[in-house]
Amino acid sequence: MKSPTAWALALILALFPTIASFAQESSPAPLEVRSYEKGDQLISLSAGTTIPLFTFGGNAATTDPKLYTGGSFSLGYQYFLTHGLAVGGSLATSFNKTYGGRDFFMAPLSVRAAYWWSLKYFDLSVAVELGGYLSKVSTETMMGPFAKAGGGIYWRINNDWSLGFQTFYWLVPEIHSGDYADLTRFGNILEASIFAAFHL
Amino acid sequence: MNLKRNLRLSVLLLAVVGLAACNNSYGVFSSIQEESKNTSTSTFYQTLVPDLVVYGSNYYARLVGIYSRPTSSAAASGWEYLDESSFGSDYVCRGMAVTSAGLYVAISNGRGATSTPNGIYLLNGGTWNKVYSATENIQALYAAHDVLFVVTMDTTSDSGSTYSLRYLSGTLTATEITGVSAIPTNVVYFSVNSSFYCASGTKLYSANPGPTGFSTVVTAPSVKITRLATDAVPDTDSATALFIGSSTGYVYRSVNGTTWPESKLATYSTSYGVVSMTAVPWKADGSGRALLVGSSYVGYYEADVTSGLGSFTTGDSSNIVAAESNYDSSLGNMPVMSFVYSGTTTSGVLFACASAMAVDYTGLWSNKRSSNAWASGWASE
Repeated sequence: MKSPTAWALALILALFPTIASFAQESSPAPLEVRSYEKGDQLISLSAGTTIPLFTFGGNAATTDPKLYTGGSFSLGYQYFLTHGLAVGGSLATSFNKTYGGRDFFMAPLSVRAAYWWSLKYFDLSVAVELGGYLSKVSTETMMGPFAKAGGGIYWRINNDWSLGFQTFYWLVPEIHSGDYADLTRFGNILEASIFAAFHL
Repeated sequence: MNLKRNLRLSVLLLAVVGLAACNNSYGVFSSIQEESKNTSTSTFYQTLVPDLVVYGSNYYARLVGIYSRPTSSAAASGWEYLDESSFGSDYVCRGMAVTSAGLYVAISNGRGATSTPNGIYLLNGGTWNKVYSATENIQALYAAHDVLFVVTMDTTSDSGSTYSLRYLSGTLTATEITGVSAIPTNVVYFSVNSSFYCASGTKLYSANPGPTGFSTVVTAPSVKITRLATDAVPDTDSATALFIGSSTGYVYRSVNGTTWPESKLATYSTSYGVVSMTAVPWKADGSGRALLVGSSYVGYYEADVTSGLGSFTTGDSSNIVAAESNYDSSLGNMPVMSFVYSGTTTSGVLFACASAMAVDYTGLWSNKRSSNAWASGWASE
C-alpha cells in the first residue's frame, strides 16, 4: 500500500510534465523576462506534501502530532500593487492519516501579502498569509484562525508561466473555551510543494 | 453591488454554518494526540498474547515462547526472546504465574502431535530450576494467595476432553475439581471468606481454607462461567467483592461469595462472553475501583465497582483508563484475553494481552497510571 507521501509525490510528478509541456508548446524558447509591476496578476496552483512538525498547548502530554506526512493542494491569486509587492489569497486543502488510521482533513482560506524579486529567469518570493481554516477528523469539525509564512524559487518559463518549488510553515491554532480550554492545541505543519503560476 | 453583497452574505453564511458544525467539547488535534501508533515491527504484531506476568525487574509476555523486557524500559522497547537452554530449543510455554517463591513457567517441547510435556520451571535469584518433571499435559498455571494451581488436560477424544485442577506442592496434587469436561477457569482468592474460587462450565467451586477441599457453590448463578475476579488491586488491597463473568457477557457481583444479587451485561450481544476481567484503581484519590471486562467480540467494557456493580459501557464511551480515540485506535479492534495490573492505587502499569491474529494490530498494549490518574492511554508494545 502506498503511503500518503508516495501519493503526493506521484501527484507532483504527474503534474510537472503536463505544465512544462504546455508551457513549451506555447513558447519554445525562454524569453528575457521582466520584473512584476503594478497591475500584474498571477493565478497559481500548487501540489505537494504537508509534514506535521509538532502540536502543543492545552493539557497536551506530548508534542507528537501523531499524524503522518500527507498531501496538499492549493489554488491562489495575486495582484501586484507596486513593483514586486502583491496581495491576494489562496484556498488550500491538506490530507493526513492519523496514527490511529483516521483521515485528517484541513482547508485553510487566507489572504496573502507577498514580495517578489526577479533575477534573470528566476523569481524569488516571500509571503505571509492570514485567514481561517476548517478541519475535520471522523465526524468532528473545527474552525479557527490560520497563518502561514514562507517562500520559494520559481523558474520563469516564459512571460506566461512560472514553475517552482516553495515551502511554507503553517500555524494552525485550535481554540477551545470555558471548561474545554484544555483541548486547545496549536498545530505546526510544514508544506513543501511544486508551484505553477499563470501570468494574466 | 449585488455581487459584492451576495459574496459577503455567502461568506457570512459559510462562517455561521461552519461555526455551528464545530463542537467545542471535542478537540480535533487533542483527540489525534491521544491515538495509539500501531506498529507492524512489534514482536507482538498480529499475535495472540495469552498472558503476561511481572517478576523482579522484568515483564514476561507469553507467545509460543516467552519474551521479556525490563520494567525500566519504555513501552515497545527492549523486548527479547527468553532463550533458556534448559527449556530446549523448541520449547513452548503453556503457562506462567508468580508467587512469593518466584516465577513459574510450564514448558513442553515440540508442536502439535510431537508435543511432549517437559515440566515446571522456577526462576528465583536469576536462575531457572526445574521444580517438577511433568508427564501431564499442562494447559495453564494460576497463582492465588501464594498457591500455584495447575490446569491439566487428562484425556482427549473426538467426544471432548477432560481436565483437572491441581496444585504444586513438590508434586502435582489433585483437588476435587477432577475429570471435568469444561476447562477450569482462573483461580482467585476471596479474602472476605478466606476461600479459593474456581469454576468449570456452569459449576462454581470454593475451597476453605484450600488449596484442596473444593466444593460446589450451589447458590451460584446458573450460567456458564468463563472468568473470575475480585476487586482487589494487586499488592495493596483486600478484596470486598467477587465477580463472575459468563459466556453470555453477564457479570455477577457478590460481597460474601454466596449470594449474587447484582448482575450487569458487559457485551455487545449475549452471543459474546467475558474472556478477561480485572479490577483497577480509579478516581483522583485512588479510592475508586473500576472493573475492566474483555469481550470475546472486540474491546472491553468498564464499570464503576467501587461500592456496587455499575453499568458497563464500552471503553470508548466510559473513558476510565483511555480516551475515546485512543481506545478506538487500539483495543477497540480485538478481543482482550487478559488484563494485568502491576502497581499501587496511585501509580502502576496496566497491560492488556489481546488476540490480534485477525487484525493489523499488535497483541500487547500497556497503559500507565501516575499521580492517581490514567492519562497516557494505551501504547503498543
